[in-house]
Amino acid sequence: MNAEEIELDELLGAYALDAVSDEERRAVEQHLLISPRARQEVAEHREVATMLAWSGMSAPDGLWDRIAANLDSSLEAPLPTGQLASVLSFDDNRRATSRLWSSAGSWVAATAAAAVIAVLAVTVIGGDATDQQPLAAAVSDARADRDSRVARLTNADGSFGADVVIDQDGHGYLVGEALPTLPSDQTYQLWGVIGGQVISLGVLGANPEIELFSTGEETISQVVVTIEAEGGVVSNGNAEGAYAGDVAPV
Amino acid sequence: MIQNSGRSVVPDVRDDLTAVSDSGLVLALARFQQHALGEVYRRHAGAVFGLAKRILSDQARAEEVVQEVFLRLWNHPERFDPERGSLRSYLLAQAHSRSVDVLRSEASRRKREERDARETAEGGYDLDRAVWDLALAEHVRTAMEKLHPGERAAVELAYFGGRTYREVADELGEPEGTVKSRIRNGLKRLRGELASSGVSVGDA
Repeated sequence: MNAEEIELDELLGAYALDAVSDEERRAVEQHLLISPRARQEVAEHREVATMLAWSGMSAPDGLWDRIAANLDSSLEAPLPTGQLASVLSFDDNRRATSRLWSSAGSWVAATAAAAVIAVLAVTVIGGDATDQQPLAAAVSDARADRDSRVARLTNADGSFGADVVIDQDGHGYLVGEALPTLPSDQTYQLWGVIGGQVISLGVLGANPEIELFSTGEETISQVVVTIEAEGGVVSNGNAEGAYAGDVAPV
Repeated sequence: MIQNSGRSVVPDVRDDLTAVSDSGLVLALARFQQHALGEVYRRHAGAVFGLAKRILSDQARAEEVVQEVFLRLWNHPERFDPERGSLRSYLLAQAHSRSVDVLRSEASRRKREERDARETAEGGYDLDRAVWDLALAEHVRTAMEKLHPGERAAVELAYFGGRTYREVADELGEPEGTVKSRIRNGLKRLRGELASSGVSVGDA
């Protein structure tokens, strides 16, 4: 570590508390881009700040109503621009139950050969799933429910990779213990086909076990797990090595 | 888990969302499910408001910050990255940053300094605020008390006072490098103290 990095490291605490100048903030953010260790330290400082901030207070009466009222007008907010916008199109009626960051084409998951996947967003899931035991119990319950739906994911060679169980409330569970562990610079990413549109359901990490996701009120017809570079992708999911399966009743 | 007390100020939330993880809620937000935002609000608005209120000491401006934070989440749910921390941590970081921006405007600063001067005259900076009387707050306060006084003052002034470390150094009459280190080491020590007392951020 050179002197400049040591100097920037010394700023990480103050940075996490917004207690640095704009110039220092920019320098630290450049440093964070290339230093996972520094990113981890900032995340830890912010979690401590979260604890400090706990006040036990309630939000004032009526505040939610004002926010909810503003949601209507915020629906007219400018759409995303740049790279995201280039692969996404939006439904005009943003009051619909879905934002419909829609796909560029239909999913051809049966062959796991989709070359282009347009998605809603990259959302990392599993952050609350560190305790696997309750999740295993939930999966067992969901499997026992005749209203649940399941998918068995295999790759192009027919090798089994993961099971998916989606209960009647839209809680989905991916049981990915059979997926080979990836190098640390890669991740598995979960995709679903909803109403003919392909969306990202989450980034699973390099070694997923049981991962929780939500399908809301929508019905997923197919599920795919792709192998992507760390962090996942917002489009053009990697078909090579992907696992796919149709969702069917238990 | 500590629940907010007081009258119900929460939105109408669908029962089935109460069991959904924060990450799941953000995914639902990305699909314009307003009741998901309602559930996020129910879980975290109190903490967000509490922090903004404490920094700004102004109810109306704190409410504006809360609105901004939740509308920002509604409009840009993809900016929340669960790998970088919890949703509460993300929302509070947003609230803190916005509050500090407000505070650092010249007019706000002048008003606050006048008020701080009055508070000092009335007995000084007091950690024992009524809002800190819940169990978790007690753990946090205990951990804070175990810090070196210089570390504690630096963390408090930077976080709740909205000062830069240079302003803290000036206020405390300490070298800037010393204050910078005290903030960083103080946060590390706090994390250790809280962990050893069995408190994790998930409890907040």
